[in-house]
Amino acid sequence: MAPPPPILPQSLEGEYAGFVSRLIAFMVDIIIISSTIVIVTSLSGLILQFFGLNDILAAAQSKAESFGIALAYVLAAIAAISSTAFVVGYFIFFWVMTGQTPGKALMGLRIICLDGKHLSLTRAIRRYLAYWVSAVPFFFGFLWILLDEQRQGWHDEIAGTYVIYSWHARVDEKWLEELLRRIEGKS
Amino acid sequence: MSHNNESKKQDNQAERRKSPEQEFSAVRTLSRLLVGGMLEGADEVIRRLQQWEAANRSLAEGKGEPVAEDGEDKEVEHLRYALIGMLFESQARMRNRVERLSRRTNRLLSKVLDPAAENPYLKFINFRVKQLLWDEESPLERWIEIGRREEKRSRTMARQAIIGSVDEFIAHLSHNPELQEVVQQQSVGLASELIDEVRERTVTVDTLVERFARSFFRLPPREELLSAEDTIKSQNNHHDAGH
Repeated sequence: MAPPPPILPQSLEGEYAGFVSRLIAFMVDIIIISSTIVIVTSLSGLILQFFGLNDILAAAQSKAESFGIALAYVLAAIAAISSTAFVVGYFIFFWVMTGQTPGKALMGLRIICLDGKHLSLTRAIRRYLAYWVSAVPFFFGFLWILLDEQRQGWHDEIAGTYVIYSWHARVDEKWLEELLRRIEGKS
Repeated sequence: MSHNNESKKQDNQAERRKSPEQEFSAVRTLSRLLVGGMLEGADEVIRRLQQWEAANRSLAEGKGEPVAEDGEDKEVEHLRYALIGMLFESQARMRNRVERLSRRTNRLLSKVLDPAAENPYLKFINFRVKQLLWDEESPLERWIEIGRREEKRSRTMARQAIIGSVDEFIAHLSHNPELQEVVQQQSVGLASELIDEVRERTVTVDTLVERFARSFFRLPPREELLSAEDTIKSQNNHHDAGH
């Protein structure tokens, strides 16, 4: 007689995603964003150097110090605005198009609205601005995910969104028991 | 003309002076390959047999002797055991008989040949046999030396042939498009398995961290709360009722 099939733990697909998964997804996104900014900045520097614009700027700076300082400020402002626009655009673009940034896609998470659909542009912008609301008080708005019944952060509650598992997520119960045993054993 | 003849003679002599090993001979190379293959093959077979025998012995010691459970099949099993036992005993008996036979043959030959050694006609044969066996400059020593050298070369050649063939086969396989596709699929499969493993572990850690956080703040555990589907449904109903 064939052995009975193994009983798998319940699938958590469609359930609220936890804090650690969301944190890892966010860190992946930050790595992607930072790497892109560094690469683009380096490439821009190389292009300026290729066309000799660095030398022109240095010459202009040596002749008129105030002009040099103003130019430096302008370039820094352009760089800051470009980076910020890139970061904002990255999150909003992916939220609106697919409901998942690359980091969330890697971790199998998806952002949905109350009706289970993707975010609209206004909702996505609201969610992004609400990030600052969650971040300012020592990131407590993010930590709220651990305590909330629907695992929502303050930015989710403001924007009316949820983050769910978009794959057949299952808890590894054996490993969980082992971890609990180790932690209780140590304490 | 004489100069040309002399140079031709010198070339011929140089050709003849070349040792036999320097010229390529397909027969010699093939012989080396065959001898090396047989020797290496025999060594490998003996090594594997020893390994299997050792594994079999340890398995038998671990499991113990098998017990016949069904009485009706005993006779058939007994017959089978008897045939196998007869086979092995025949081998042992054959070995003993061959040894006894070779001892008797040696005694018989020495009985026959020793008196024959006094015979003046057979003395010459006896002398030649002794010369072959015991003389330092006999061809036997030369054969032993050649055999020792050729065995080494043959084994080396066989090993190189095996390794070279395996490498060629692997290189040929690596260019096979179907195999490349299988390898790519396996790589993709491995990558997705790795991602699934990371995700699963993270979900487990989600549960663990949340359990601790909720217990610290004396909140009810996650299992007693509504699922996402129920929450979304109830909120949609509330929204529809409002409109």
